[in-house]
Amino acid sequence: MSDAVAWVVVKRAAAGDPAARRDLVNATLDNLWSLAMRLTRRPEDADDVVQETYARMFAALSGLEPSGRFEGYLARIATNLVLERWRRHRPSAPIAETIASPDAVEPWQTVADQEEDQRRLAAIWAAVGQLEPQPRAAVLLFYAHGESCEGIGQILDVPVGTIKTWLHRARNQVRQTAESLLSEPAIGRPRTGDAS
Amino acid sequence: MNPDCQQFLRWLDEGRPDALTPPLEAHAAGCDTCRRRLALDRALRERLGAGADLEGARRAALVDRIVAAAPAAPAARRHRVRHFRWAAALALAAALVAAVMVFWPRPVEPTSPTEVFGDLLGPLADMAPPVIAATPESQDAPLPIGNALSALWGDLQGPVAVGLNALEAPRAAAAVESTGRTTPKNLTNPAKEN
Repeated sequence: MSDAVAWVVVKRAAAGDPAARRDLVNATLDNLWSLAMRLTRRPEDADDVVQETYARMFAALSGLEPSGRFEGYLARIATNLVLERWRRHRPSAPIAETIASPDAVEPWQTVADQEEDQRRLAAIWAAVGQLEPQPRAAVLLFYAHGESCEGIGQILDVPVGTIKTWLHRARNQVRQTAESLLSEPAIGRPRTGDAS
Repeated sequence: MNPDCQQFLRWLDEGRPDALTPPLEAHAAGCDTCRRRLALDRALRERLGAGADLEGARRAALVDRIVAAAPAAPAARRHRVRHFRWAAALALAAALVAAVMVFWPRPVEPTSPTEVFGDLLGPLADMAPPVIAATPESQDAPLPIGNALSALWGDLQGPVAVGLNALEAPRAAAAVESTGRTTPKNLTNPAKEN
């Protein structure tokens, strides 16, 4: 759904059309849930964040002005909700649970490869988990969700230069924290099974 | 850092490390710093972004929950009602504060310097001459200047009467000469006449 179409549907939903509300949710849910999942790393938490995001959006529906990306608006609400959670519960528990997530294991990997990958993943998450909430969100939005620096700046309401600074510091922190595991040859080399 | 490195890093900052152009790819192959940075960016993207797809069954249930929880009526009206309630509560609170300020009994404030500065002066206040403080009762009494004028008038009544008699004496003598009487009627001695 393009932004122009999305805003038309928003207008219909604001007028109280139930079908428009369902269309709006269906059109934006996948991307929003992925964002919430990448930030929280737990499906249950992602569900909660997404539900709360839509609840807030529906509550403010009639006052929304059709400008900018509608999905960016949703991403902003969701990210702020996650930031609130991070500030309430530090250090972030979901990060530790993600380390053992089976999603990160490829089927063709040997046990040794899987263990090494898990150690690398743990090292990366440990480094990311040490960041302050806003820089952590910026790193995850950039590297996990593929958001641009400009998009992150709009979501977090922070200048683009600040986002780039945060990303630079976060990369250095990841390097320092996980230097032994993230040595250049290990990351740069192709995975087992990718050589074909 | 040469211009190629800057261009390479700018490309990475745009968030497209998997879509490198051949010149940038060639640069990364020959530049150790840029190659390490590219490897780190790709590793972070690969590992942090994994496993975030919403499954079908979970998705359907989530959509139902979200739509069911959505408010049935347009939200603006509820917002207006909520704002009106806030405004009414604030107005009521302001009215209460104003009423308390108007009707609350005010304490009598000290008026004399010794009362005002008594706490500050401490023992010196006892050494100061007594000052008659203005109390609500004394404010209703006549002013001291009125008392002073009354006393002055009482003192002057005697001399004024003597002065008036002295002024009347020549006129009385003239009247005696013209009528043959020795004293004016008002100055005659009743004992002699009897």
